[in-house]
Amino acid sequence: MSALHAARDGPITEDFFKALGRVKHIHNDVKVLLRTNQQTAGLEIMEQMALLQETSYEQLYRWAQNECRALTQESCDISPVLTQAMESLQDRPVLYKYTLDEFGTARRCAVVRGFIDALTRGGPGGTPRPIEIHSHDPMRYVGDMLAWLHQATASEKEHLEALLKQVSMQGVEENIQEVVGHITEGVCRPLKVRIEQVIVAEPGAVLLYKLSNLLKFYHHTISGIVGTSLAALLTTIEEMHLLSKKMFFNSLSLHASKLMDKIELPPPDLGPTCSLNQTLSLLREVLASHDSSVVPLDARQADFAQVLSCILDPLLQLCTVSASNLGIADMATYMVNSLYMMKTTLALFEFTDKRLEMLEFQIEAHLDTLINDQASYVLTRAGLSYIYNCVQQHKPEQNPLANVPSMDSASLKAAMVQFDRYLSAPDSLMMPQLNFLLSATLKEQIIKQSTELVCRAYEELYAAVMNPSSQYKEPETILQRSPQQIAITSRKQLEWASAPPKLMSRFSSGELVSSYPKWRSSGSSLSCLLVRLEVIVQFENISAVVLQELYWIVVVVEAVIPKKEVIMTLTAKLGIVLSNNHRQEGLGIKGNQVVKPGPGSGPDMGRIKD
Amino acid sequence: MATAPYNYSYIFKYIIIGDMGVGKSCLLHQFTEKKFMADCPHTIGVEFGTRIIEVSGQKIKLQIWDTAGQERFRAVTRSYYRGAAGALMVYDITRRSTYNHLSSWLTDARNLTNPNTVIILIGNKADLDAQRDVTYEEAKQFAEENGLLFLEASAKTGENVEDAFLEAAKKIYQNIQDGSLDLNAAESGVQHKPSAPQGGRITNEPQPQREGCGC
Ligand SMILES: Nc1nc2c(ncn2[C@@H]2O[C@H](COP(=O)(O)OP(=O)(O)OP(=O)(O)O)[C@@H](O)[C@H]2O)c(=O)[nH]1
Ligand SMILES: [Mg+2]
Repeated sequence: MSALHAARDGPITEDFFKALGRVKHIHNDVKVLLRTNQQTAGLEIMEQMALLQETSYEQLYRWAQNECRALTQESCDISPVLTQAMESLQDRPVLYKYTLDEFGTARRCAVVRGFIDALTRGGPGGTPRPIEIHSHDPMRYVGDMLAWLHQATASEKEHLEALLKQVSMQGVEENIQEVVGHITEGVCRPLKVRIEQVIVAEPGAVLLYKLSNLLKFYHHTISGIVGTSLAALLTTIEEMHLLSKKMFFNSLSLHASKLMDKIELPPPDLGPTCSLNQTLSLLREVLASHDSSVVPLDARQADFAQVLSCILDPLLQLCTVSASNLGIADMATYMVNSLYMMKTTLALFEFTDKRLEMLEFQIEAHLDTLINDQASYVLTRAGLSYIYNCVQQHKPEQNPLANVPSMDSASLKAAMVQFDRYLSAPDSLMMPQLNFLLSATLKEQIIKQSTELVCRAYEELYAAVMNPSSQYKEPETILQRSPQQIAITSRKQLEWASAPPKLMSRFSSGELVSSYPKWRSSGSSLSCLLVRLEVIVQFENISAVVLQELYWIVVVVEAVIPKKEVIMTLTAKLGIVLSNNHRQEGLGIKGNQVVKPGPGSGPDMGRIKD
Repeated sequence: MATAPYNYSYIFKYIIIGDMGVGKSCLLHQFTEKKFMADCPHTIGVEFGTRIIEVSGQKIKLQIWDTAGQERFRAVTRSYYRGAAGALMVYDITRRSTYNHLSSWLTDARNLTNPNTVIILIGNKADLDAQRDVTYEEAKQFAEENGLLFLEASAKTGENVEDAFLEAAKKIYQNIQDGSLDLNAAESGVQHKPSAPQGGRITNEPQPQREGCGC
């Protein structure tokens, strides 16, 4: 008992708690007396014990309050006695709460002071340098501040856990989160002021986007410590996240509206305009910067959709408007080039399926125009245009074809000489626009399909001339080759002439391979997968090793998918690219076949996670 | 009560750095939980663990920040070097590339910590001796040339894991003893709790001797 009395002006010791426990015990035991005839004695003792308890708790509270008040240093160690005091005080919820408040206030001061020191003073002798030294580098500046706060929050939670580790009542976890919330409230203002400064300084779209992702990341990380409670720190971080994101989209919209303000004419080579290139590299930077964050998948998908409509839609509009004064073939070429640039930019990013499909459709529409134009170009140059027109317009009830002006044997023979010259080098007759196409593959496709159209025209001509009702004498001396022969010859000539596709990649080989699992996990459709892979295999600076690795991933991952043609197409493509470009690298390539890498050389599939 | 007045006298802040997959998280887990986590997921950003150890009779609490090795997190993890008293720089003895990257990790560590930060090099996965790709000797030499402590360890078997964390702590403690580490400076990575008498005091009166419970 003397321990309790002494505590009034002395230190709290282990004995104090023993005595307090004893008093509690007696107070309880005495209740038995109340049921006997010793009631008066019982009541007296109870009263005495109750009084003693109250003064002791009061005493303990004042002591604990003082202890807590002193915890304003950066280091904060909780003595076992203080821990024990909290355990006892839980019997008096009001005193318990006041003590916790005192603790929170003291720690709040300590954290604010520590934060300001880290910002302005740095470590001993200036290392680490004060965080504010890097205020010119927004990512580092904001990142350092948030990392410091993350660490401080974790430490503060630890302190609280130490303080309350013997408290057994319900809701301790909530107490801890609440107090951590209170402790970190003090830094909100200095943090907010600084981040706002960074954001309103307009650091550019890409940085704003990176900042917004960084803030989101820390919101996520710090809520892992303070829970999803409405801690002021989380609210501040969320506010700053929203602000940076808003400024980001503002900046994108501004960029887009500037594009439309001053529409650039297509350059003479019908390639992409400067503004298209600039905008695409901005888009690429934005999409790529997503990598350094852990924003949940669905949020990222929503972001991507918004970014794409913010940038891509105005770009498409821009291209259409700037092409509007061009001739048909020029316009188609310019559009194919511009769309193609967009496609190759998007192909490496996830969540772009819809856009890729749309771009594919648009490219195909313009390709059709070019294929038809190229076919008529050939027919005209080969002198078949007039003849073919006559054949098409000729009706059986009219004069026999041989009697139509300029359709006599001699004229036809003369035209065939010219056509033969074309056949010996079908790629020599090319609309000038085709040479401006950026994609060698598309160019090849146009030549191939237009040649097929030419062959079909020849087929019609052949059938008409051979038809007895046309009344040509010895028609086989006029048209000496069968349509089949023509088709085979032209195909062979084309194959021989076709050059390996060339396209400089603006992406590093590593980026190409590492982007693969992302489209897969984002659920890219098979047709888009093929589009993406086709883009990749055309890059000429992609090394054989990377190609092989990609091939291997595709075979391993896609083998389970029934659509085997994806793999087959890719395998064939890779085979061609590999044997064309990379023989010198000494890879095991036999003919057009890629040899499976040995054990251990494939990618470590086990570590690719979604 | 005979125990020390406080749970521990110092807090040392550590960071663990190194390429992805070298076993940083497994080392931390082995150290704090004494278990091997065979299928440990990639670390996202940073994770955190603590354990109390004893050096020269002093209880020291280690606050350990385990960083993600993936390149994409580099910008984030760099912010955690500040004020670390110790850095564990880990490579995988079976993957040479992780060893080759050490100089870039070391550059970061030197630039972003304070001059007193103790760096220990750890060759992890020592249990996989058959697949060894980096010899003990060359790593030892690299460590000596750069003034680093060095150990080979295995997060799987637990071999040398304790020692890795302890060796660094000993060195830090030694720096404190010989005065080369200034505890009063902010962000030294060490927090010191000066020994206080058992129990706080409400007044300044000398503490009288008390008897046990008098009831
Ligand atoms: N055999 C063996 N395997 C180990 C050892 N340590 C870690 N591993 C394995 O190596 C893989 C990677 O370990 P982690 O601890 O996740 O690697 P990390 O360095 O934290 O990787 P990040 O978080 O991505 O930076 C895991 O599959 C572990 O099972 C070891 O000592 N021996
Ligand atoms: Mg890890």
